[in-house]
Amino acid sequence: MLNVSICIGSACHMKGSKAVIAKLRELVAENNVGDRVSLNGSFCTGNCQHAVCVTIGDTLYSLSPETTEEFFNNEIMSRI
Amino acid sequence: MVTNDKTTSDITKRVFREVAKLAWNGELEEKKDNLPEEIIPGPLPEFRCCIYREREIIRQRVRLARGICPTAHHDTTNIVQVIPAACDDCPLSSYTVTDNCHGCLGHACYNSCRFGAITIERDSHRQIRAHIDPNKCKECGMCAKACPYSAIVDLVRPCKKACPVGAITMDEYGVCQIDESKCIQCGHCIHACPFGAIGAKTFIVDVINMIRSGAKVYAMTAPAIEGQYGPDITEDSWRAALKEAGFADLIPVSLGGDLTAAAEADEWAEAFAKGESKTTSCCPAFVHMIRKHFPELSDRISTTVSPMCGVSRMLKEREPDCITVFIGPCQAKKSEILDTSIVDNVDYVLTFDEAHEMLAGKGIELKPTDVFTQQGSIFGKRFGNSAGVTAAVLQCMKEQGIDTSEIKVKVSNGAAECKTNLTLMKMGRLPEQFMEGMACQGGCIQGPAAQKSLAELTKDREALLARADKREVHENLRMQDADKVHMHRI
Repeated sequence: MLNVSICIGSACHMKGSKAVIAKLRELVAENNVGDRVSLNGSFCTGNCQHAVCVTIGDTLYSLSPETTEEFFNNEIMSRI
Repeated sequence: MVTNDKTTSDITKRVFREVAKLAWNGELEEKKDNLPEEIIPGPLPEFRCCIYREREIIRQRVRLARGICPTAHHDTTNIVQVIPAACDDCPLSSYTVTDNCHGCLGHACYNSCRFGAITIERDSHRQIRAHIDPNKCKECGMCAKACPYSAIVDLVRPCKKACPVGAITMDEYGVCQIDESKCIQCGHCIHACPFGAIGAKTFIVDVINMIRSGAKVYAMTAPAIEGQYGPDITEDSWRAALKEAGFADLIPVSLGGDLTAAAEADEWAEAFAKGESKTTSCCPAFVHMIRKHFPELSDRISTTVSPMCGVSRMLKEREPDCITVFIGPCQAKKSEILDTSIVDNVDYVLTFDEAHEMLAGKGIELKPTDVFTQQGSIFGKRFGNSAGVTAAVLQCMKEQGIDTSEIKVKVSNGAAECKTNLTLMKMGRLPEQFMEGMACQGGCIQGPAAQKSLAELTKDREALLARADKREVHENLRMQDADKVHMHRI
């Protein structure tokens, strides 16, 4: 199971973390990979300048709702 | 309330208040590193070996209050966290012979031990005493029960004793550790530790930042709130204080209790017809217990969302961009919102203490008020009492003309009962078809952020609840224009 954590702290929230979560959830369902990808919210990690912060393992990615699909294809699909 | 942790909980509240004060003024990043010295001015220590350790504990508490792990090298997702600097590394041995041992001839302890762990020897003062070999002891407790002088005591750590799922262990230095694969976030260990060495991450700063950004932020208070702050502090008192702090309004989650009860009644009626068993889903610690410790029962969990989520969905249907903040007695609720599969759940969760100190950080106090508004039925208001969910669901069935005389529900009051009854359900030996589970004994009203013991709370709470009229659950949902909210997980 690939764990993907999306920060829901205030800075990420204001930059669209809920939209990123919704988009990722949609993409996971569309690609039928729900049994291999786990999406979780996380507390603020203190990297607010990179909002929206998404982490896979120890790697931090800086996303926006617009770049979410690209991230999903490049970083999630390639790992599963 | 007489508790183990009065002093440490006062310190924790002070930290919340100071962090909130800086956050309200937009000075947190700049001044947070000054807090340990401000709170522990010295020069003499008050509680610990030295002021430097006291200050380090404060520094770790400030991190938790900001929602991050107490130490940078231990960064995990758990809500409940050990504050390593505060842990006293208390003794590991469990059953211990005390000075009450008379060295009698009865040897009931020796005779009761089935593992050969007890020997009767002379100690260094040439007194005959029983001794327990910790390597042989299986911690069955038979010797302690057998001793006529009550000379054998169980010295298990208070945190470990409080944990209902065996998630607490210790590292090689004796510092408490939480096995996060087992932890159900119930928060019972937090108040069990007499050194205040366990705490929880908070969303205080996030909520303040949201309000400061100008977002429309709604507060939603748990049904358990009534009576916690005495007979004069009502939901309307909270509404006035929260609005003063910049919240748009307060919606009581007793209305969510009505929403959940109505949806769960439909679900139970369907399950009853099919002969399927179901458990409640509103206590997140209970849900974690099933998912982590009884995974084979996961499909029995009701798909109805919690009252908290119900009210948030209602608000977000009306105003999609609003921010919803739940204020309750619970730590596990914070983990419910990290579950991204639940759409439109609340954005942030605060405990009563966190919300209270967030207000105090802005100089706002809760005050009695003559205003009285009722937005939940009495059944929704009692959702936070053990057996309250069952009563509300059965009420909804009755309102729909369903005969409930054959519907049997096992009310599980507290984590220990939940565990026992889930074990029976797993073996197919629970006679009841339905099960209500609440991880805190007494229900949410005795959650980890409860302000009073059950005995102290009951009088004030009942006096406040007596003001509610006799409206029914469905009637209230129509009155609040809330009878169309989507109440299932997906």
